Amino acid sequence: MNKQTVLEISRLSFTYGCHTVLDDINLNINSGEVVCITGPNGAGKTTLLKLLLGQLKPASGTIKLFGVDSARFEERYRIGYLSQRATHFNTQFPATAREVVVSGRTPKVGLFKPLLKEDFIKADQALEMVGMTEFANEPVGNLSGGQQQRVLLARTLVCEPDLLILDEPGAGVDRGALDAVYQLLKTLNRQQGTTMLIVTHELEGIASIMTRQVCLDKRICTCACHQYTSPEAQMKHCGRRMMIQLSESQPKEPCYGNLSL
Amino acid sequence: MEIFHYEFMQRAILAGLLVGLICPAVGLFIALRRMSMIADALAHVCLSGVAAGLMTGVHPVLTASLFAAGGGLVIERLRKTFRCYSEISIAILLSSGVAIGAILLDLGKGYSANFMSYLFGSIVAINLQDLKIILLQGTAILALVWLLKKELFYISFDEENARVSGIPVEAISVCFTVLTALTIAMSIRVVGILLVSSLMVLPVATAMRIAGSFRGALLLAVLFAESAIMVGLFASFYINLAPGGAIVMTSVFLLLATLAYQKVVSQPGNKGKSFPGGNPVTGEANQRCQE
Repeated sequence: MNKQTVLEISRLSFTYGCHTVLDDINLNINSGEVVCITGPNGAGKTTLLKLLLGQLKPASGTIKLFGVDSARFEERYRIGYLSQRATHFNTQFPATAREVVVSGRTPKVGLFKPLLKEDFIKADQALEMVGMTEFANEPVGNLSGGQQQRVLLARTLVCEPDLLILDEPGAGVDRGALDAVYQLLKTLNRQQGTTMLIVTHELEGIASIMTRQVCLDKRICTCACHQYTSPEAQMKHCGRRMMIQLSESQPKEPCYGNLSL
Repeated sequence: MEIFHYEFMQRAILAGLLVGLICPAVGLFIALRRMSMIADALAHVCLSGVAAGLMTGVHPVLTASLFAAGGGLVIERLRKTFRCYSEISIAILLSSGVAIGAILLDLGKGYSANFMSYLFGSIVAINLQDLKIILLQGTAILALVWLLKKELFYISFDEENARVSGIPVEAISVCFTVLTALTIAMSIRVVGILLVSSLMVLPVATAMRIAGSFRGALLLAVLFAESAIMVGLFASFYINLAPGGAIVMTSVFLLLATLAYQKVVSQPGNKGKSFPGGNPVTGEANQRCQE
């Protein structure tokens, strides 16, 4: 497969007022990679995702998506995003799983154009991919947390994204449901070569396909390639100060080092 | 039937059926986006629009549309200004609308009788000009809502994801608020300023208790609204009830009947039936409704 650069982050910094959240981040992700971002609470993981998704503007530095500056990037449907609050929707919302999934085609179809039969076929295929075909016509609010997560993943996949960004996919779902989601991600990556950027604390399920693990705490602290790094090893990489943060919830201080990946 | 022989009733039925189609179609998105009170505030802005129309001699539905659309834009701006307390914007607009209406009415003394017909509706007094405005405005609203249906669904279900995936959420929200304002303005002849928001909310509330799908909720809401309008018109013609009040009270009855039906089928011994809106006996939602 041609290893095209999907994401290119260069000297990225972000501040909330005078508080620096991200400092001098450099990270490249090539197509087909599965990169997991880990780090303590408040490390700037969600802020980094918001910057990638165009929800925030960087204080300095650049982000390129598929070679295009993120501010000018218009093909947003090429990025599939699953928020950690995705399953926190209003469960009284009158919609079936199929209606929710097909709505994911909205950005690709475009403004003022109706959804066509082809879009519903894609929705059915996405539901089949996540093993939710039998629940297609169920009200989405009546499904279990794990089932809702799979339906929302199907909505993310229905546009056949080139880059999948998942923010804590394990949040609010039980171990069994999370394993099923990880199994699906493995299949997607191996069969379709989907590039993935996953923010997670749960590395065990995804370790077998993870190509890189990035530890973030304002700066990028470690980059472990093709291997699962235990929390203890992460601490070792990030230095003693970070270990103190993780174990004793001390006020944060920046990690040592900043690897350009 | 006798009711269909009169021209004024034919006009009333035609206008009523169109309003019964558009109000729940717009109302479903209003309810899902938790904007029901905004609809009420915009209805009150129509008060000043109607008063301005009566004073200037321009058709009151047109001036009400203009005022309500302007009010819609103001409310969108105020919601951004008071982002964490967006209900403040509703209070500001509602009281401003009534205040301007009161001043204009006082300035143009003598319009009070005509004004009452806009306050509580006078569907049976709809003339050909009213009907033309309702048909034109209604068709335009319906076409736009239909064209924006998939975006409105996405934004209502998951605004954050809609934004991330490149849907112009801000522009569509403003457009929808203006469409809501225009829907309210065109409906005031049917149910009146004080009752119009209930025609947008009550059939939707009833449909949402039963429907398990968006399509089902939309169809049921239209069905309930049309039924209420027809029952209201019949009640007005045969037993001389105020049509606006009769329409809204029929909607209230349909909602109560639905809740009672759900309560009966959820009794012990009627297990196996689940409702998308949660357990109607305990009032407990399936899982969440506040996030």
